[in-house]
Amino acid sequence: MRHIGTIILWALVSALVILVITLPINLQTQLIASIAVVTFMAVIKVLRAEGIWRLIALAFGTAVVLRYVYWRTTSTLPPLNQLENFIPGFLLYLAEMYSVMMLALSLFVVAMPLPPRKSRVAEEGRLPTVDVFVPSYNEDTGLLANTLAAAKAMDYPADKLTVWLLDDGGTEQKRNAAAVIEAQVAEARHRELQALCRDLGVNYLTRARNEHAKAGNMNNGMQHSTGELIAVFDADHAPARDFLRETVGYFADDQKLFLVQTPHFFLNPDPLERNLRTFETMPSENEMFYGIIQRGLDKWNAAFFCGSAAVLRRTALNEAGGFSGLSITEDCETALALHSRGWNSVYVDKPLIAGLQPATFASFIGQRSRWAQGMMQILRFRFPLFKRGLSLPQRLCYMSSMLFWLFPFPRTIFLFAPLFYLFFDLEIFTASGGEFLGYTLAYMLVNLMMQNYLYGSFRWPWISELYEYVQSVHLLPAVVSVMLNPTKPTFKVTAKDESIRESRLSEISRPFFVIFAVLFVAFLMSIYRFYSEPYKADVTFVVGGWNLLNLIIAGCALGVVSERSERAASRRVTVKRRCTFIVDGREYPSTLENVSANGARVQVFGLEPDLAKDARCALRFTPYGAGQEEVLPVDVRNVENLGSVIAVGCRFMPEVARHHSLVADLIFANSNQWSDFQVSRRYNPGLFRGSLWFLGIAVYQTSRGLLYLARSLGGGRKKEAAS
Amino acid sequence: MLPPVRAALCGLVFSLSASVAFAQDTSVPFDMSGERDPAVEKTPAVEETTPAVRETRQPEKKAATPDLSTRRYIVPAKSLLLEGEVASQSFPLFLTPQQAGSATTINLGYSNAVVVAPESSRLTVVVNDVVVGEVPVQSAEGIKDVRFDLPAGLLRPGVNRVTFNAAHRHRTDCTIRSTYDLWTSLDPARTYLTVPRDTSGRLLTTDDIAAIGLGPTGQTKFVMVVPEMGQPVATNALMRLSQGLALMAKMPNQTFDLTDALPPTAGAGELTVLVGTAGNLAALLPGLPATARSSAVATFVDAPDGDRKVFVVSGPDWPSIEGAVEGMVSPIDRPLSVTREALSVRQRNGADMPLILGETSPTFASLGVRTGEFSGRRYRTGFDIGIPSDFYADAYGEATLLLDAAYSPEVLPGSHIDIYVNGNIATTVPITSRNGGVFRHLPIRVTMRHFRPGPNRIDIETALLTEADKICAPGSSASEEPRFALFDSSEFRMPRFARVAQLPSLAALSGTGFPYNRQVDPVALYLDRLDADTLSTSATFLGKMAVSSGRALQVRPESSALAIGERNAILVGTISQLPPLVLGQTHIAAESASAWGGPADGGAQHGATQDAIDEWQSRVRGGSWRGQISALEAWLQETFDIPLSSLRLLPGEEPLVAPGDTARFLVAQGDSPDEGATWTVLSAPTGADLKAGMVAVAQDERWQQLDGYVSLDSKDADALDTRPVSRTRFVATQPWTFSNMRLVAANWLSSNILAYAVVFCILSILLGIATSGLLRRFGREV
Repeated sequence: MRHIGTIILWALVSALVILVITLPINLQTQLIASIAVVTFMAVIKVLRAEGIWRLIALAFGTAVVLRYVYWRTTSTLPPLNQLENFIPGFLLYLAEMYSVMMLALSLFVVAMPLPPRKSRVAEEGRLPTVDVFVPSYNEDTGLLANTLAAAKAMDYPADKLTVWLLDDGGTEQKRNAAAVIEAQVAEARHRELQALCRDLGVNYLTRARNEHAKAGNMNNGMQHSTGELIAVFDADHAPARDFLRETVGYFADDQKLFLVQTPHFFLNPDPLERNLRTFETMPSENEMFYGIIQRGLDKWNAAFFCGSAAVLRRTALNEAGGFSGLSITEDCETALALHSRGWNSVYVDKPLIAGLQPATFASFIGQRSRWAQGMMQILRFRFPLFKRGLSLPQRLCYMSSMLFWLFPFPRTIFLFAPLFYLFFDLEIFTASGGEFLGYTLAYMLVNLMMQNYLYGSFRWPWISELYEYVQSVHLLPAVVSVMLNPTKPTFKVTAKDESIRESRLSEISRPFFVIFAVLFVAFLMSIYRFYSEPYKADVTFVVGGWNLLNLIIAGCALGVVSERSERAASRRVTVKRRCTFIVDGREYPSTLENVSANGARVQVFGLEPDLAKDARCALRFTPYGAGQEEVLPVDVRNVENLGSVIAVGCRFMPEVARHHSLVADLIFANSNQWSDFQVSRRYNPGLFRGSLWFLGIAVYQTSRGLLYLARSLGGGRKKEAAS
Repeated sequence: MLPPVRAALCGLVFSLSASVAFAQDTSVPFDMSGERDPAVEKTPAVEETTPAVRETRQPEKKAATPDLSTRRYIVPAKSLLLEGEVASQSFPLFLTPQQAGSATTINLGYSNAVVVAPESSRLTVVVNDVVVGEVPVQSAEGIKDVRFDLPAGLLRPGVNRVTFNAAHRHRTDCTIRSTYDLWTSLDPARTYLTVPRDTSGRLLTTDDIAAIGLGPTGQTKFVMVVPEMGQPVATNALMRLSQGLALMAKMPNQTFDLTDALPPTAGAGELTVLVGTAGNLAALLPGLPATARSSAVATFVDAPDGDRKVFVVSGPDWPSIEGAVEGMVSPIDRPLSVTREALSVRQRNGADMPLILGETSPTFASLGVRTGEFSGRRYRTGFDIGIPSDFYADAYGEATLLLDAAYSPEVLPGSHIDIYVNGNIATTVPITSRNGGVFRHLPIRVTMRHFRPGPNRIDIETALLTEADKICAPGSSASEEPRFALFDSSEFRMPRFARVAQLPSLAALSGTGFPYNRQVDPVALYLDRLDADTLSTSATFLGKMAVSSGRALQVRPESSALAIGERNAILVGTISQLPPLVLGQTHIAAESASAWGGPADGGAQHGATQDAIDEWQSRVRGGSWRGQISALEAWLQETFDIPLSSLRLLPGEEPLVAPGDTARFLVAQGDSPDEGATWTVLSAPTGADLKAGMVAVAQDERWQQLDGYVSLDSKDADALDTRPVSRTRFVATQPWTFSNMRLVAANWLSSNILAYAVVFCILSILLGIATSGLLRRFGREV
C-alpha cells in the first residue's frame, strides 16, 4: 500500500476518462475526435516515440476503443423483438466484446514488458547439481542422439550434471503389448536407446506403465534422480552450450524461484512459413509470445513453464507433488500451481535451445488442438481468476493466456457475420454509413495501430488474423468438444520430423476450399446487390468490404494448406566456422557454410572438382567444449564449382556416440547464431506497407491454392481412370 | 438522407410547373378526360345512395352574402391546403351554449388541383368524430361551396372539433412524385359554421369570451377602447387584462388593438373591450352599468349602436379596475407550483399537445395518431409534442420512434419511411424486404437537432413503390387494396434529455415564455411612451406570452430603462427612443438608433460592399487561402454536416445586428449589464411599424419562427430573419444532478466539437502518464 496515492490518482483520471467517453455526444463530434486521435497516434508512431509516449499512445487507443464499446453497446444492437436479427447480432456483439476484453488483458500484460535481462552468468564454485530430463515417446534415435549429445556437451561441471533420457516408448507396458509388432518395435527401441545412452554417458530410464503421459514420465524421472535443479528439454530441443550458465544463476538470487524459462527457437519453418515462404524474412509466430508476451508476463511474475527449455527447482516441484497431469498441457498447469503457492518465475529472453516444430499442416493443427484443449481444461479445472494464492496481476495474466484460446469462436463469427446480410438480408448491426466511418473505422484503425505499436517488429499486419483463421477451422470443434467433455482429450505427441516429399494439398484442407467458395459467392452477391439495390448501397459497401477482407484471408489460407515439397529433410543453419576437409588422407583448408542435423555444406579451397559422389571423407574441427581438433566422417552428396572454391554438400556418417556430439556441437553449440537470425527478421514494415505486402501474398497464395486443388482433382480423376 | 429531400423537391417543382401548365391551358381537354367522363357522371348516383349527405351547389354570389355575424369561421389561417393522397386537419371551435344549440349547417368552400381524379377522391367533414358530409373532390375550375346539415345535438357548448379529411388520387399518374400535385384548398373565408342570426353574437358571460372566434382570414382581434391610455396608472391593468383575455381565447393569431374611440362595428373574430374608469367610459357607452361608479364591473353590455355586445371592465378608479381584472384573471391563471402536462395550443389539431419533460414513451394513440391503412403511394401523418424551454439536447439528442407498421408483399424495396421534425427530415428508414413485412416496435432514431422549445411537429411519411405503380394501368391508381398500415400502438420514446436554460433564446420565449414564465417578481415593463402603438404592441406581445407560458405574467411598468437594473424586463419602443445601454446589451448596433428606417442608407451601402467582397472572393477563390478555407467549409458541410463555426474551442461574441433596410420590426434579447437577468426588446423605426410588426409576429406561424438572439421581421419576407446565438448564458432550471449535468456536458461538447477532441486528447495523455506512473511502481523492474 505504499503507492496508494498513485492508485487514487490513476483511478481518478480513469474515472474522468470513462465519464468523457460515455457522454452521448453526436456523430460529428465523434468523427472529429477520432480524426484527432488517429492523427496523434500516427505522429507518435512515426516519430517512434518510446517511454511514456508508448503508454500515451496506448491510452489514446484505449479511449477510442472504449468509445466504440460504449456506442456499440448503446446504439447498434438490433431490437430484441427481431429475434432473427438479434440473435446473430448479439453473437457478433459478444465476439467483439471478447476481442476487446482480450485487447484489455493483453494491454495489461504487455503495456510495459520487462526489458531483456542482462546476462546472469552462474558463478563457479557454488553451482547446484542439475538433472537434465529429455522425455521421449517415439522420436527416432538420430534425433535423440543429437539432443542428448548437445545436453551432455553443455558447459557445466560434469560431476554436477546428469542427463536422463526418459523413454516412454520402451516401457514395460509397451514392450509387453498384446500386438506383437508393437511389442517388438518397443523392445528394439529399448535396446537401441540403452546402447546410445551408454555410449553418450547418459542415463536411460523407462518405467512400467505409460501413466499420466509426459507429466508422469517426468515425475518418474524425479523419483530416480536427486539434482537440486531439473532442466527439461523436449526430444527435439537441443540446448546450446551456455544454456545452464545463463539460467542457473537466478536460482541463487531467489530462494523462492521455481522456474527459469527460455524461448523456443525453431530451426525449421512451420507450415505457414514454409508454404508462404516467409521463414527467412518474417518473424516467426512464436516470437510474439517469446519476444514480448513472456517478457510482459515476467513483469508480473507470471512467466510460465512451456514444457521445454526451462530449469525448475526440485524442492518447489516436490512441494506441489511433482508435475501436474490433470490437463494435457502439464507445463502451464504446473506453473500455475507453483505460482499459486508463492513461488516465482523468471524469463530469460535469449534463445538457448533450438528445436523442430511440426512441419505439416495436419500436425501443426494437432499441436495447436492440444494446447487449446489443455488450456480449456486448466480454465475449467483451475480457474485462474479465482485461484487462491495468486496475485491479481498473475490472475489476469493467466486469464489472458487461457482465454486467448477461445479465439476460434469470434473468428468464426466474424467470418460468417457478413453472410447474414449478404445472403439472408438480416441486419445484425444497426448503424449508418457515417457511423461506420466515425466509430467502426476509427476503432479498426486504432486497433491495427495499437497492434502494430505493441508487436510491430514481431508480428506483421494481418498475420495474426491469418494464423487465427487457419487454426479456427479445425480448432473450433476441438474446443467445443473439450468444453462438452473436459476430461476426454488425452496427451498426443506432436510429430515434428515429418517431411513433405511432393507438393500436395494437406489432408485436412477441404473445409478451407468450401469456405473460400462460400465467401467468393458472397463477394459476387455483394457486387450484385450493390448495383441492384442502390437504396442500401452504403450498407452493402461496408458489409461487402468486410466480406472481401475475409475472402482475402481465406484465399491466403488456401496457400497455407497447399503443402510445398521441401528438399532438405531438415533445416540448414548458417554457420561460419573454419575446419579441415579430409579426402583420402589429403587435407584442405575449408569453411563450414551451413549445417543441418543430417549434413553440412563446406567451401573447400584447393580441391579438384572431380570428387566422386558417396566418397567417404571427413571433417576436422575444434568443438567448442574441447581443447583439440576432432574428426567427423561424412559422405559426399554433391559438388559445386564456385570458381575459387569448391562447395561440397556432405552427409554426416556418425559411427560412434562421440560423432553425435560433434554434430551437435556444429549445429547447437553457439546460441548467438540463433539470436542473430531472429534479429535479422525483426523489423516493422509498418501498417501500410505491411498490408500491401499481405495483399500481394494473399493474391498469389490464392492462385497457388486453387492450382493445387485443380491438380489434385485432376490427379484423382487420373487415378480413377487408371483403376 | 438526401435523396428523399431531393425527390420531394423535384416533386414540388414538378407540381408547380404542372399546375402552371394546366392553368394556362384549361381550354385544352385533359388527355384522359374523355375516358373518365362516364365515371364523373356517375358521381351523383353515388351520392343519392347516401341521403344523409345533402349537397347544395350554390351560386357564388349567394355564398358571399355579407351577413357576417351569422358565421363562425373555422380555419385560423389565410388559406388551408390539404396536400397529398391523404390529408387531414382538425380545428377546435369554441361555441357558446346558444351557438351550440342552434347551429345547423357547416359551409365549406374548396377548390382542388386539376389532376385530382374526382371519382376516387373524397373530401370528408367530421365534427366531433361524426362524419357530417362527404363529397367527391371535383372543383378544379374554381372555388365550389358545399353545405352540410349537422345532426341535432352534435355540437356541444365549449370546444368542438372540426376535421377535414381529403383523400386524393391522381387522374393518370402513379408515381410518388405525382402525389405532390394533389391538393384541395379550403377557403377560410367560405368555410364556416352558420349560426342563425337571432342568437348569434350574444356573448353573455365572461366564459363566452373564449368564443370570440375568427375572422375570415383567421384573425382574432381584441379592440380595447381605453380613453385614458396615456395614464401610467392604467398600464398595469391593461397588460394584465390583455393577458387574461388572451388566455381565455387562446386563438392562434390574436392581437390587441388599443384605441381611444369606440369603433362603430366589430367583424367576425373581433371583440370590443372597453376599459376605463366609469367617469371616462360613460361618455362612450351610455349603457354602462350604474354600479361601475361605485364598484368594479366586468361584463358584457350592449354597444351604443345596439347591434352587438361589448365587454366592459370598469370601476370608480384604476385600483378598482385592477381588482376587476384580477377577478377575471386569477381563476384562469396557473400557480407557479403547478407544472403543465400539456401546452395549451389547441389550434393545430384540436387537441392539447403533451409537454414532454423527460423520459417518456407515449403511444401514438395517446398522441392522437390513429391506426390507418393506406392504399396509395405517399402516406403522411404526424403528431405534436411540447418541449420545455430548458431543452438542451439539440446537438446530441436522439429520440426513438418504436414503429408498429406493416406493408404488403407488393411493396418493393426502395420504398422508405421518412421522419420529419418541424419540416426537417430527421431519418429515413428504407424498406428492404420483398415479401411484405410487419414492423413490431421497429426502433427509428430521430435526431433532436430540429426540436425547439414549445410546440413541435413530427411527421411520418411513407413512400411506397409497387410494380403496379410502375405499370400504372388505367384506374389502378385508385386501387383500394391497402399496402401499408400504421398502428396506433407505435410509441414515441423520448429519453431523458439535458435540461438547462440558455439565454438569450427567443425560441424559448416564443415556446413557453421563458424566462418570464416562472418568475415570482413582476417583470419590469418599459414602454418608451404610452401611446396606442406602443401599448397595442406590448399587449399583443404579452398576450402571446401568456398563452405560451400558460399563465398571466405580473408586470411592473417602469418609466426609465436605467431603473430596471438586474431584473428581467421587456422593453418596447421605437429604436430611437431606446437608451444606448439597452441596445448594447441586446447586441443591436448603436448606429441603428439613427440609421434604421432613415433615408440615408448606411446599411444598404454596407450590404453592397459585402456583396462586392463576396463577388471578388469568388472570382479569386483559386488563389487566396481564405478561399481555400471556405471551400473546405463547404466540403465539410456537404460531407459531414459540420459547420466550421462548431470547430471552435470557445464560443465567440455575438456580432452586433444593424437591421437592414427591409426590416420593419425586431425582437432582441440580451443579458442585463451584470448578466443577472434577461432583457427582451421589441423595437421598430416608427410606432406604426412597431404595431404592424408585432401584429405580423403574433401570427402563429411567425411566432413559432422566433429564434436566436435577434429576430427581424420584414414586410415582404415570408420568414423571420433570425440570428443564432453563439455565446449563451446557462441558467439552471433543474436541481443539480449528476445525470443532468452529464447530458448538459454532452450537448455542450457536441456543439463545440473541437473542445471535445481537446478534452479527449488531454485526458488520454493524462491517462497515459498516470498509467505509466502506476506501472513503474508495480510489478518487476530490471
